[in-house]
Amino acid sequence: MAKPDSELLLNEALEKLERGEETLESCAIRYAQVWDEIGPLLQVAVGLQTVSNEFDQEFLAVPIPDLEAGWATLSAQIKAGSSSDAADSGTEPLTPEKATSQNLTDGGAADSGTLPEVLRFRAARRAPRIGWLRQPLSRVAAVILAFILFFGAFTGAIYASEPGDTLYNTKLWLEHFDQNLATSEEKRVIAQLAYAQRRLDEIEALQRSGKLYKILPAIEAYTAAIKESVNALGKVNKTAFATLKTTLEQQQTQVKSLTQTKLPLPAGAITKLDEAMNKLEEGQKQLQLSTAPITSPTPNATVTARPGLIVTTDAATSTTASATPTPVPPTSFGSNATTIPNNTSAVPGGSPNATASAPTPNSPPTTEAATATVPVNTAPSAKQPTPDAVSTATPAPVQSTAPISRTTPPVATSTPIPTIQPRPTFTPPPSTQTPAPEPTANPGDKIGTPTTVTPVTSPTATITQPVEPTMTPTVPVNKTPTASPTTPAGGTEPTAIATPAPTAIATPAPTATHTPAPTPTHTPVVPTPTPVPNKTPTPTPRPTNPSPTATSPIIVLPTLPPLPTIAALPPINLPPGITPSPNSTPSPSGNGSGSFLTNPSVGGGSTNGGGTKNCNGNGNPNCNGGNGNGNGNGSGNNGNGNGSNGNGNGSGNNGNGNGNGGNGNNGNGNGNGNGGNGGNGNNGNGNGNAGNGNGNGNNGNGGGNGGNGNGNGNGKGGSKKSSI
Amino acid sequence: MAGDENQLENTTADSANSEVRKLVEAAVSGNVEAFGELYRRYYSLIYRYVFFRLRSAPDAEDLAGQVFLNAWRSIGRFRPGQVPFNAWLYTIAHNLLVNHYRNHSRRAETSIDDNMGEAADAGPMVVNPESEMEKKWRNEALREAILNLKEEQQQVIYLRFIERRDHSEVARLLGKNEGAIRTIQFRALQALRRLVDEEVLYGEA
Repeated sequence: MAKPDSELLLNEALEKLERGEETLESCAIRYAQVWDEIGPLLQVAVGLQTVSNEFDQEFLAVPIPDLEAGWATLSAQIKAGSSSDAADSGTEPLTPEKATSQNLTDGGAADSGTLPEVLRFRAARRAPRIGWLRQPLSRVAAVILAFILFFGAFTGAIYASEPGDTLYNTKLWLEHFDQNLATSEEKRVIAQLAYAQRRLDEIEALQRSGKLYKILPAIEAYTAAIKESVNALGKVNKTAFATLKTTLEQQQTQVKSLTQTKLPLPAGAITKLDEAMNKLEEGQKQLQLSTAPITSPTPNATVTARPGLIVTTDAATSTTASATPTPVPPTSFGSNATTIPNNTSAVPGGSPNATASAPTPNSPPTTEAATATVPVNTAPSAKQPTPDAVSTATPAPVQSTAPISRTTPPVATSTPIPTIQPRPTFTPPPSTQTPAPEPTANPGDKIGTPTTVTPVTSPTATITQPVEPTMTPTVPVNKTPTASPTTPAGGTEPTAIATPAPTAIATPAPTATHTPAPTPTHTPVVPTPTPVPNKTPTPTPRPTNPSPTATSPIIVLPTLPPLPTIAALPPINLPPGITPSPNSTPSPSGNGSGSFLTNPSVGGGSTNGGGTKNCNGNGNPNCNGGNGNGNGNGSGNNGNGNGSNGNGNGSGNNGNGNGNGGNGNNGNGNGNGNGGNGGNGNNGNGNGNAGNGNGNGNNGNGGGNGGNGNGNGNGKGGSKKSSI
Repeated sequence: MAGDENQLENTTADSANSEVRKLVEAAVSGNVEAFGELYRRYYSLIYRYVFFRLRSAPDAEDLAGQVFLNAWRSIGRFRPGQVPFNAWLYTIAHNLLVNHYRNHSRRAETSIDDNMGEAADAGPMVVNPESEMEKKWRNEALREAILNLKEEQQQVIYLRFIERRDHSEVARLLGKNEGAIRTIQFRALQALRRLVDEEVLYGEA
C-alpha cells in the first residue's frame, strides 16, 4: 500500500514542481511523511529537468539537418533497393511486403551502421541471380564444362610442349599412341613417318627460335622415329611406296639442311642426324630395291635343301617347286655393306638332316642367321646362287611374302633373311632327298641384301612340303597344372583320389567271415534247447577240466553225457542299465544265439561262457566244452557283436580261461554283441569249428563300453567226436 | 477556456493521428511519397532523440536516416492500429542505439571514465547546487544512467523530462494509458536513483 501512495504522491509533487507551485523544500515539508521515499526521486526528477535544460541549449547549437536533403538521400537508397529488386524479379519496385519478405528485421536489431547496411541489403537481393547454379542439372553442366575446359587446356599444354619440357614425353606418348590406331601396316608406317616428320619440324622450329638447348631431345626423338619407320618399310605394300618415298626424300632434304647448318648444335646432335640420314638412305634403297624388276628364274634350277635352309614361298605354291637361284648383284648400304657368298646354292651331298621348312606364323624373322641359312629372299627378283643345284629334299613350300628388305648386320657374312628353325619332326624321305650342300659364304663375296627367291613350279621338283610339325616335345595338356606326370591327359583326377578303392576302407569282410545265422529270429521258448544258459551251471556233471599246466599230450576226456534238455533258459540277469535285445534268447535249435546287448555304456566283465560241448577241431573226442567262463572284460564298443566272435569259447584246458570271445571262428552262434574282446583266455583252445554255439551276448565290464558278447559255444561235440 | 483548449488539442491530435494513420497505411502499401511525408514529420523527433544519446550531430544524422531506412524495410510488419507510428520509430531508434553502443562500448566507457576523471580533478565533491562543475558532472551521470534503463523507461523519462511532455501525451505517443506511464515513470526514477547512487552522484544526499 505504501508504494501506490508513494507513486501517487510523487506524481502529485512532480506536477506541482513542473507547474512551479512547489519547490523541493516545500515538498519536503508537505510530503514529510513519505519524503524519505519520494525525496530522492524528486531530486532525480529535478536533475532530469536540469539535464533537459542543458540539452535544449546544446541542441539549439546543433544545426538541424535539411529534411529534403535527407529525404532525397533516403529515397535514393529506397529506389536503389527497389530497382535492384525490380531487376531481379521483373516486377514493380520494392514494396514493404517484399522488403519484409527479405527477412529483414525492424529496428536493425542485427543491423548497425548506415551505408554498409544498404550495401548488404542490395547484395542480399543479388544473390538469387546465381540461383541457377543450385539446380542439379546446372551443376552437372558446370562440372562438365569445367572438366572440358580443364582437359582442353591440359591437352593444349601437352601438345604445345617443346622438347625438354615436362609434358614433352607425354606428347610423344600420345602421338605415338595414335600409330596404334592404324588399321593397316601401310597406315601405321605412314603414321610413323608423320610422327617423325613432326619431330623434324620441331627441330626446325627450335632451330629457328634459337632454342638450341632443347634441340637434342628432339633430334633423338626423330632418330628413333625414323629408325622405327624404316624398319617397318618391309611391311608396306608397293602401292604406298610412292608416298613413302616422297616423304623420305623430303625428310632427307630437311635433315641434310640441318646437318649443314652453321648453328652451334649441341654435342651428339650431328651424330644423331647422321644416323637419321643413314637410315633415310637405307629406307630409300629398300624402296628402290623393292620396286626393282623381277628376274626370271632358271627353269632347271632347284632349291637344295640343307640344314638350316630357309625357303619361303607363297602359300599358294605347289608342294613341289623348282627354284632357279640366280646370283644376286651385290648391294651395299653405306658403311654397312656386306658381302654375299656366291655359292650359296644348294649342293647335293649336304647334310641328310637337311630340312626345308615352311615358315610358320610364329617363326620370327631374324637378321643374324649367318651360317645356317640360305640367303634366299622372297622378293620377286630371284637371286639364286647356283643355278645347277638340284634339291631333292622336301623343303617346305616357299612362301612368298611381301618384298622384305632386310638390313644386313655389320658383321654378317651371309644374307640376313628370316630364319626358320627346322622342324624336329620333319624327316624328308631318303629316296627323294638330295642333301643340300653346305653353303659356303666366302668373305669376299658380296652379299646382296636382300636376296630374293622366286619360287617357280617345276615338274621335276621333288620338294615336298612337310607335314605340319607335330611339335614332338609336346607336353600332355593337363587341365590341372598340379597333376603329376603320371596323371593322364585330360586332367582326370587319380583314381585313388577320385574314387576311393573299396579295399582302402577298413571294412569288415562281410562275406568272408561273417555268416549270418540261418535263423535270424529267435524264439524265446524252445522245447529242446541245447545251449547252456549263461550264468547258470549246467545241471549235467562235467568232468574236471584238466589243469592248464598239464603236460599230457593226450587228454582223454570222458564221454560226455548227453546234454540235458533244458526246458527253457533261465532269465539272464543283466546289469542294470542294460537292455537285452529281443533276440537275445538262445535259440532252441542249438544254433548259437547271441544276445545283443545294445547298451554300450555299461562295461564290466561277467561270467559268461557257460560253454559246453565245444569241440575243438583237434580230433579230441573229449572235446568237452569247458566252461569257458570268459570274462569278457573287453570293451565291446559297439555292442553289435556278431555271432562269429562270440562263440566257441571255453574249450581247452582250463575252463576258466578267459575265453577269447572272439575266437569262435566257425561257430554258428548268432552271438550278437561284441564278443571280440572278451578277455584273455588262457589256453582256450577249444575252438569248435562245428560247434553251434549259442552265443549269449553279454556285456563285458570293459571300460565303460559294454556290449561284449561272450558266446558260449554249445557245441555238438558229439559230432566231432564221432568223426574222430 | 481550459476545457476548450483541451478539446481543441484533442481534436487536433485526433485529426493528426488520423492523417498519420492514412500516411502509414499508404506507406505500408508501398507508397514512397507517403513514407516521405512521415519522414518529414518525425525526422526531427528521432534526430533529437538520437542526438540526446549520441551527442554528435553527424552520428545522429546517420543514425536517424538509418532509423527511417529500417522503418521502410520493416513497414510491412507494422500494424497501425496497435502501436503509434512515432513510438515504433522510437523503438527502431532505441535498437539502433543499443547496437551502436554495443559496437562502441569501449569508446563509451572511455568517455565515461574521462568524464568521471574530469569531475575528480575538480576536487572533492562539494554539495553545492550552484556549482557548475557539479551540475555538469551530475548531468553527465544522469544521461549515462538513462541509457542503462529499460527501453520503455528510457522513452518515458526522455519524453516526460527531456521533451517535457505530460502524461497524456506520452501515453498517446507510446500507445499506453496514463496510469501505465506514471507507473513506468515512478520505476524509472527509482532505477535512476539507484544508478545515480552507485555513481555517487548524490553522495551528500
